[in-house]
Amino acid sequence: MENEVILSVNDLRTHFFTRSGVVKAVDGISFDLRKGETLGIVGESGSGKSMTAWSILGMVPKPSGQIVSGSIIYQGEDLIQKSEEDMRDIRGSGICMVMQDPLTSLNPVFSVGNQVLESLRLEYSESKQSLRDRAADLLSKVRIPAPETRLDAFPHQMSGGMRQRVVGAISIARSPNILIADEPTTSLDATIQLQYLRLLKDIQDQTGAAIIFITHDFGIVARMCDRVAVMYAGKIVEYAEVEQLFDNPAHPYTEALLRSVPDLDIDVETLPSIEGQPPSLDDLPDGCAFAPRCPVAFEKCSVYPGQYDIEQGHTARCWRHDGN
Amino acid sequence: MAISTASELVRLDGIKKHYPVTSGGMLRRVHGLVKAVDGISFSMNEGETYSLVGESGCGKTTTSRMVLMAEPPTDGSISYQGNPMTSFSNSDRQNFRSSVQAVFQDPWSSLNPRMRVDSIISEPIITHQKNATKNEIKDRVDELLQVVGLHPFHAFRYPHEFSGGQRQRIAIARALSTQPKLIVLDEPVSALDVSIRAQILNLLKDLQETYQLSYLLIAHNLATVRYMSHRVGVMYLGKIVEEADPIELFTNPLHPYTKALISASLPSHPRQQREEIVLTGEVPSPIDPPSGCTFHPRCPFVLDHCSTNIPIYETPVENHLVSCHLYNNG
Repeated sequence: MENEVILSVNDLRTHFFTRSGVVKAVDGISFDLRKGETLGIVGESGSGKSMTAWSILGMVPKPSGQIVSGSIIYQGEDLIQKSEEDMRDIRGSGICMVMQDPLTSLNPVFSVGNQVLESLRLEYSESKQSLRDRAADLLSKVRIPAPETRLDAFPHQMSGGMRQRVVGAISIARSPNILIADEPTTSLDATIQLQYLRLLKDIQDQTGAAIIFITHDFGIVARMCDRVAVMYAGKIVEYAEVEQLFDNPAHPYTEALLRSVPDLDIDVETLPSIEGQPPSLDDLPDGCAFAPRCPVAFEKCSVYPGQYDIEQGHTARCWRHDGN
Repeated sequence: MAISTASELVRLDGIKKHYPVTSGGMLRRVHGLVKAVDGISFSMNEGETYSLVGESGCGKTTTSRMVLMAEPPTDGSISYQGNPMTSFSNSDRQNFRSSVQAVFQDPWSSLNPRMRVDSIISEPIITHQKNATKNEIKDRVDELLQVVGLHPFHAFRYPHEFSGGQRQRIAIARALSTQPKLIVLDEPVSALDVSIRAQILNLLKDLQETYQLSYLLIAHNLATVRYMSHRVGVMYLGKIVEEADPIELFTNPLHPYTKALISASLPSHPRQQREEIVLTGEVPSPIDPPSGCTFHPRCPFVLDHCSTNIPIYETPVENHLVSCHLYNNG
């Protein structure tokens, strides 16, 4: 794996201005994405993980949502300064969202070939036949048998797994450098989910794209990711390589969360649970947002903690690690 | 964990649910049957959790609807405390309806947004205990709110004022209001935030112990099932293909489908490796299920006679049922 940074997010703040006040959905996060790596952004609903993805893609709902500060550097340029038109081009050819639900993300009235060609046409101005060849090539890349004939099929003529592959093919049609996979709230069946995860790995092996995985599931992180950012109330509270995070979680939130998930291979009488509710973003405490639920909180936690190094490549925002 | 002392609460015997597929014309000619549930039998004991696992479309929710008496089975019989449902008198039926309750997956749609929490929780009490006075009902609502970890002052709020976990607590309070013996839990935590799930699971476990409740748990997360259950049935295409106690089932799965389900579940640590069993193809249509063992077209260990002979239940290990030709020594 090369170490070249292809996306650099610095102190990104995405706020929503509503009648009841400012909602700080993303509040000062920074991370780097390296070529070919898989980064997991984990958090609960309202942690800001999806809004991070939307900010990168330039799809923050307007006018209530605004990126108020920070930068998102991709190929030497700041995406926040880009025009709507430029962003349209970058979405798809540079950074691409992978839809997870194959049943709803294909148009039922167009043939599969038509939908794959739609994105190819934006990238290449070639003859119909050579575009068709490219489309067939894409389908075979995602391991669809007999791609030539499959191009004329309609989504309803394909099985769920096939449709998933078609969606995968469309997302890599313009050979993006970064794929963003945002998890749907409803969960897929285990075997279908496994198929999807394998497909993504497969795509990554073939195209060398970096993947950002937005998820709430540590199981997906364990299986797929190289590095992880754990988000809580709009901030990255812990950032580590995946094995570091599971072996040595440094933030009390990560630690408690990892312990509260039932394990298929271990029998426990009572799961240790986290008390309280995730905070509401328009009414955050001044200090650490997790402090009201934290079992080890102390006086210092009423001031927001800085980011402290735990080990090489592993940081946490918690006063327990400030070195004193 | 063969607990012979626990008394049986509900028994299902050869239950089938077939939905007709009609032509849609005026004559409504039936030209097929969706075999949603196709001959399943199991029993639930008092104070225990029976879990059904399987992928969407395998018939687990249909089964729970028949247990709730929301739908009559096409064939077979369900009995409650030894009394078959079909021979229920009116008072039996009323008694049954208050003894069996449900908690659903999505607390955003299972609570009426226009009803205050106290009316949500007291509605079943008013229906089932016609002579309850206003004060009795109010005391009961307050008590129930405390039992599920909320406060009596929450009674005057509306569902939208609560978070997901709190709403699920309200749904649980509503289910408890008639002092039921059995609660059907249909994916009770999968719509909740990860940090809230353990709270709700632990609450359900505590309530089970306090009130000797039986649960019929429907879940697709195997780790949750292992944590909650006393007995687990694995369903595939309307049939139970394997049934065992959770520790036995997850440490010694016998049916190839169970093995595949376990291999597809996500690891709890990045260094953990599972044996990966890849199933070919998709779940076949329940209108025209495959002959013989319905799993044979996708089975990695398929034998010659799997496509012709229907497997029967074998007990290769005590208390561990599996319907698969691999374990047929005869």
